[in-house]
Amino acid sequence: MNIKNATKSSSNYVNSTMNNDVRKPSRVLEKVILIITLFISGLAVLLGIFSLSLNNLEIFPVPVFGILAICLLILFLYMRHVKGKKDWKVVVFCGLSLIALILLRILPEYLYGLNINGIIHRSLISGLLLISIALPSFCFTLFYFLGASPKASDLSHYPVIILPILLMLILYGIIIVRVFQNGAPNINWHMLITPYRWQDFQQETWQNNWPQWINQSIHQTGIRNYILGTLLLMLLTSIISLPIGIAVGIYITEYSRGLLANIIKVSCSVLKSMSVFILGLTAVSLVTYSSGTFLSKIFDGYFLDANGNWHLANGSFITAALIISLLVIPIIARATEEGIRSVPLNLKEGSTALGASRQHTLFHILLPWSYPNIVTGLILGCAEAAGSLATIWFISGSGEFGVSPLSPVTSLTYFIYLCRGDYNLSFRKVEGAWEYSSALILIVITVGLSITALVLKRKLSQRQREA
Amino acid sequence: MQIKKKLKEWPSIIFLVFAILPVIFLILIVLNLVLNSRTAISTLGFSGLFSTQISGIYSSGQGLYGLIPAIWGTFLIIFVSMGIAIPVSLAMAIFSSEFTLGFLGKGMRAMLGILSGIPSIVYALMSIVFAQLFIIPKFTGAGIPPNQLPIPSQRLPYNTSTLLAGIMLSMLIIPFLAPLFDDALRDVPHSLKEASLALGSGRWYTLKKVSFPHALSGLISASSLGILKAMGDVVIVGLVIGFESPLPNPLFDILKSTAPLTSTGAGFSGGFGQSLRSPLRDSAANFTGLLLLILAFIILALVYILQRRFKKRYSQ
Repeated sequence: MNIKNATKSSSNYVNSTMNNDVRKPSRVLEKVILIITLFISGLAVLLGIFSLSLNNLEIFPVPVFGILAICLLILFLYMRHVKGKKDWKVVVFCGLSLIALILLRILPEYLYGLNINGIIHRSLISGLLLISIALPSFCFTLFYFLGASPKASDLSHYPVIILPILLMLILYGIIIVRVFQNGAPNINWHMLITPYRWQDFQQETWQNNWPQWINQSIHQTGIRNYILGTLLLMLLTSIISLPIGIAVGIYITEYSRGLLANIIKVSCSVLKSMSVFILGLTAVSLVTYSSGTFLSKIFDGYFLDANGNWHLANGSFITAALIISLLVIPIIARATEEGIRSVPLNLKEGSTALGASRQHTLFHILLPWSYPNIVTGLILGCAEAAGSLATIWFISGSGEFGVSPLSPVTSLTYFIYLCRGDYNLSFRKVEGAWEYSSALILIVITVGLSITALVLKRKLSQRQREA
Repeated sequence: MQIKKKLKEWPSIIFLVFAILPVIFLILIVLNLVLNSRTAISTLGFSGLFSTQISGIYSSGQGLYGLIPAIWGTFLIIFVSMGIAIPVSLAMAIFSSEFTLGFLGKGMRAMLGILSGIPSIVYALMSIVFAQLFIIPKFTGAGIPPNQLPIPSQRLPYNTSTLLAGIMLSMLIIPFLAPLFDDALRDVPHSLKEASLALGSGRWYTLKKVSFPHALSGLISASSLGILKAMGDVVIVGLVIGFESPLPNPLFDILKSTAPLTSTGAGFSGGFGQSLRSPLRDSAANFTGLLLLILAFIILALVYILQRRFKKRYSQ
């Protein structure tokens, strides 16, 4: 054992190995004991993970806890008698596993009471106990197995870090795989190019010089308008938020560093972390206030029904884009700020030294340099616009009446909400189980945009390293 | 002369006009919330708004708009979602900044960037999968025959509960929170870390005794942003929990569904459809938004005080 490398992190080990008057340990026996304990505790962790999702593993936890307790006891006794060190951590976890064993023997299979709204299965408790007891014992056994050095201490903490990450990534994997499984087989060309319409109307015809009205109806199902709506929302949002975002970024880096710049910065960060619910309420207020005035056509939106009558809607694409751009402006402003701050000083100073004015430097040096940063910010903002539902929730329409800047706002997210969140599920019965397909299309759009932004960012950091 | 000089600086005026817009928007948003909530305050009074009775959506008449259950629901959802999100994000940040495994540690950040592109409605849609995989086998007594259930079966948390919403919300928050934690851990000066490593301590010991205390104030401010996101989300809680609910009887019962402020307000403002909208309900929704804003400011102030304390303790 390398005593020189041992530090405070393995202090009790150091203290115990300092008195060298112990018998010479047999390394093979030690390794065998450690490997068996490692195996059992690793098995227990795996069993814990599985019993968090499966109900029929109820015979295993009790014997596993018993074997784990015996292994830990043997480990402690071996360390105590042969190597002369007392690691009380091992005994504590041995005792804990015994307590867990007794607890699991006592508990009935289903737990309820205390007015709690549920019947808890025993496997949940056994899974949590298994992970919380077997993972630390796995870690310190690994620590001894790897030689009880500081490096072993590093390596033995890897399981604590990796296990939660792995569990969470499994959850994300389940979501993405399920979206693909449910969504991909349903996508077909007809659904992508047909707009949704479900209207009854009266058609006027003339017979013997008298008007006749015949009841007719248009029944079409498809998600074309929702995809187009998402794209239009992205376009309008970027048109509105791009000039404002760039102006904010330039102003707070180049023109003002005083109180006003701080106020603008703070208000941008407040807008960024503002609840989307409050923004949705603002959209409602915008629509309510503008109805009845000359702005009502712009903010409320309008549509023509099948009889050709003119109606005011609940909110137009322009309103939605205006509200979403409040979320996007801080992103673009931040990106512009970063871009301008990353301009090499010699470029800037060279331009000034050659007699260029401030504006000339700004438009010919700073903005071209920070152009890729701005594009990255814009792409992230577009992803935000495509995925936002809460801001347009209260003003959306069902998207029957076409997609134009002044028609009622609709998007893929609202379509998914209509299919899933509507309590009587009437819309879903009409449209079929296409919410997974549209979720898949939405994920492809937003994830594709964020991957593009990532690639751009990587290129940018390469450029900065070269500069 | 001065006017000419000012005219030469024309871009600065244009930039100022555009840059002042976010401030104006922010003021207008807050003003709108305050002005619109006057009706609710004058009609219902503070005793009506801060009571435990709520039946705003289902009632045909004026309805009751007590917001105490919603405030409690907000706290519950913050506890559940941040209880899952903070440890996992911390593990992810440590994995990508300190305990890297070759390309895996570098790929972690990229993977989080990709995952942050998934919109919240997808998590709300897929909550049904987690209900089938986790909630129904573990919390509804799946093996007991239906006629022997000790609890009426319609009360069981089949696909709506605070726990399920918290899990889905934590999945939304983690890709947002982990890069912030990562930045906070990377902000620790290299000289401190290298001094610790050069003195012979391992990476875990350095993390525990040097990096973590130094990064603690950054970690706290990052988690306050996560808390704001958990408070402000409305899609997942609206679709998984529902729009209004009474106070849960054992207060910490996360298997009941307790609607937080956002989804309660969304219910007032037409979560079930725009036909149910009325001036009083809209006004109550605006009051809910105002309350959310005030609550967010209180939480931010608490976090700020906590952060300053930790900074002081570390600098001493």
